[in-house]
Amino acid sequence: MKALASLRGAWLCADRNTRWLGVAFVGLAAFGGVAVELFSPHRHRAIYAMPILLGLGFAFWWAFVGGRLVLLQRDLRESRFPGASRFIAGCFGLTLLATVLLPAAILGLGGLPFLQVLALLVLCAGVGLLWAWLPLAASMWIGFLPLVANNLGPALGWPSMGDAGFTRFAALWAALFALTAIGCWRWLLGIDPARLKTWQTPMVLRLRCRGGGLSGGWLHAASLPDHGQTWIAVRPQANFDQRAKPARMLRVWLGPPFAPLSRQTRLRQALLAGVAAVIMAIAAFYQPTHSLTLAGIFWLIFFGAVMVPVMSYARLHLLYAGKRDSEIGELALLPGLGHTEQARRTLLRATLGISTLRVALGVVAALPALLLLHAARVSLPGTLLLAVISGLGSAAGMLYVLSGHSADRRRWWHYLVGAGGLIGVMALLTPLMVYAIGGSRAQDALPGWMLPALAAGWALLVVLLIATTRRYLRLFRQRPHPFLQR
Amino acid sequence: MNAMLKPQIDNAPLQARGISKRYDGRPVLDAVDFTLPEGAVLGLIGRNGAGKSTLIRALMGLIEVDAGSATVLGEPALAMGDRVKEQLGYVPQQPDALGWLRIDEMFALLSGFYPRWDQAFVDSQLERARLPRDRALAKLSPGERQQVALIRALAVRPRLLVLDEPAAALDPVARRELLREIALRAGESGTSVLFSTHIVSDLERVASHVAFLHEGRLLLQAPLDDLKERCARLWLPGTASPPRIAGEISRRPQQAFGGWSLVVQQRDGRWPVEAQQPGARLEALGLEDLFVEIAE
Repeated sequence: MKALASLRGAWLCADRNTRWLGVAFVGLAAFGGVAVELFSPHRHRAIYAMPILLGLGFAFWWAFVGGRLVLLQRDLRESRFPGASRFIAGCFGLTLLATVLLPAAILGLGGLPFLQVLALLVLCAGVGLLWAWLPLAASMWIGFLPLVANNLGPALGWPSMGDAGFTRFAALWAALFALTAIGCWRWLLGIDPARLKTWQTPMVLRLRCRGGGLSGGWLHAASLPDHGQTWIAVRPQANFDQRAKPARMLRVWLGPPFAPLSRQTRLRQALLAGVAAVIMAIAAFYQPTHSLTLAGIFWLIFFGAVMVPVMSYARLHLLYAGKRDSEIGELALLPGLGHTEQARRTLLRATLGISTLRVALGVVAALPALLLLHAARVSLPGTLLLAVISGLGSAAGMLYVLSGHSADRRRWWHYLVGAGGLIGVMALLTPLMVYAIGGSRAQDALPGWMLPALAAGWALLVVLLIATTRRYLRLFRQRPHPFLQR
Repeated sequence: MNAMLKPQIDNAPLQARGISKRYDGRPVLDAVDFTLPEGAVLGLIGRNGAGKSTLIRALMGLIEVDAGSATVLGEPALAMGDRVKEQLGYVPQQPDALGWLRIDEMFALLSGFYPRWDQAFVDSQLERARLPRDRALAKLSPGERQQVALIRALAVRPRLLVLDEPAAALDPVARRELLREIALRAGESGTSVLFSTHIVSDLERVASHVAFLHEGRLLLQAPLDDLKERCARLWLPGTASPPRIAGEISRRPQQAFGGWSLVVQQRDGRWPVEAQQPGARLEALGLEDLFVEIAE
């Protein structure tokens, strides 16, 4: 009975959408593992695709679902629930059993080295947990881990899966991650989230949401709603003529990521970019092929290209369709934005205009690095293409919200289409990255049909995004006014 | 303390005709006709989930309704111009806007939009409420946030003031001050006020008119004094359900009494003839009893 309760706790600690997304992710990973094993020409290496992909799937599970057990424990403790610690320990134990021990045993029975698989899965669980539990300033770097492992691993003599020393190597890192996770867990149980600054707040607290899921959870958290941010730009003066700059005023109202940034924030961002540039320059100096530097630049470009649409969409969705849609109501009744058509144009300028400008600035910032590394021949078209996709994706996503569609919960399947689109972008991007980073060696290895197929895929995506943007722009224009609540 | 200006129906600042709204197929408003007379302080009362906030949002043109229309100060609610917005003070149930700004920044930002902005009022109210000007709005308690929103709405010197559950998060002192301010605005400046609440004592203290919303339908809308005089509880003996009578608003069986209690209102200044039946009796109703009788 207690095991059943723990199982229920482990399953219910996240909202329904996230749980099923986790299941889908793990399922997809398993499916991918089987596909690689069946179709790969290098059979002796392909057998390790299954545990690696499964590990990625379970890392996602621990990051978004399992990591939330700590929140459940906090809630139970605050409610003075008897036996909370034992109950949570049971939940953790069962989740470990299901995501580590059981798959390792099954794969071990299938002929893979049990201990290696076990160590790998523990490592993946640790990565997921640390992403969820570490302060944001640390967890944001975890996305770089696969790149670092791929590029630095051979140079540092790290063993790959299947090598003799892999078990010891993975177990060491897993132990380090586990110890860090335990420290984070104790810290998370004791802190007051309201006192944390943005950079201190772990993802698990940022993603905390009762409504949950894609529509109410992690997309909303990305939009930095209101933590009393002091870095937001506008310090309005009483004698400032807001009516003369309605778009700027609207950006302040819409908040991050649309709000104009203060000089201090811009300086801080420039400093961060400078540090990243120095690191990459050093890496480029020591690595003649520049592959690590290029991988880092691509990662940043890709991260930016995805984050611009996601954050823009998330913030507008929160305003227009979240529980806090009173903000839009107050905006609707604010004088000074002119008649309906004027207000509509100003809103488009403050949203679509700003995100397009940011994408363009991103391209301009990436250009010198690509030119300096002599990678512009392949990378530049790729970057421009990605910028077009990012700009169009932002526009389509924001117009989807502004036209009132994201507020309609019966259109949940639209999220599936969006997620499919994102997976499509990633699928189309990966070969391009390999092509660009790997140089002539990778270009020779890719089959001849790959480039035409990629071009066709990108073209199709652009056409689809243009059609979607036009459709929602038309629907947005048909609304009685641009600030309608749901 | 009730607003003293005589209401003018002809030039109603807020009107709705046949408003219906469904959410996920569930009716929330059902053909609601509503009028806020000029100079009136109208309390919109109803249980949780009765549709009060939805009605207010429909009246303000914040949502598209399935049927019907609304006008605000003579303009369609969905196409209000700046002239109307400048004369309108509105406080939503949960004022969340501009959470990342400090109180003084928010007021400075908004003051530029309203030609009749009363900065002296803002200063005095912030002082009185002891609200720190340099605190971010997001860091305020719900009650403080509501106070700031109320100050903002009143600083506009509105001709029409619309408040969605304004007293819900306020402490008794702040609540009393709010009610006094509402009465003052209505009495001295002729501001028309619509506020929703389920605190009957607030309503009795300040409202000149009352509207009962129940399950999306507006059951009653009348001047408060008329309502008290014209509505009563009618006790009818007998276990069988009595036939529907003229002026009936609601009914329910009373097992302890062995009969039925009905809320009825006068028609042409007269009570229903059923009140003359043997064993029947009429009983005056306070506003709270009236609300409970209708809502239960």
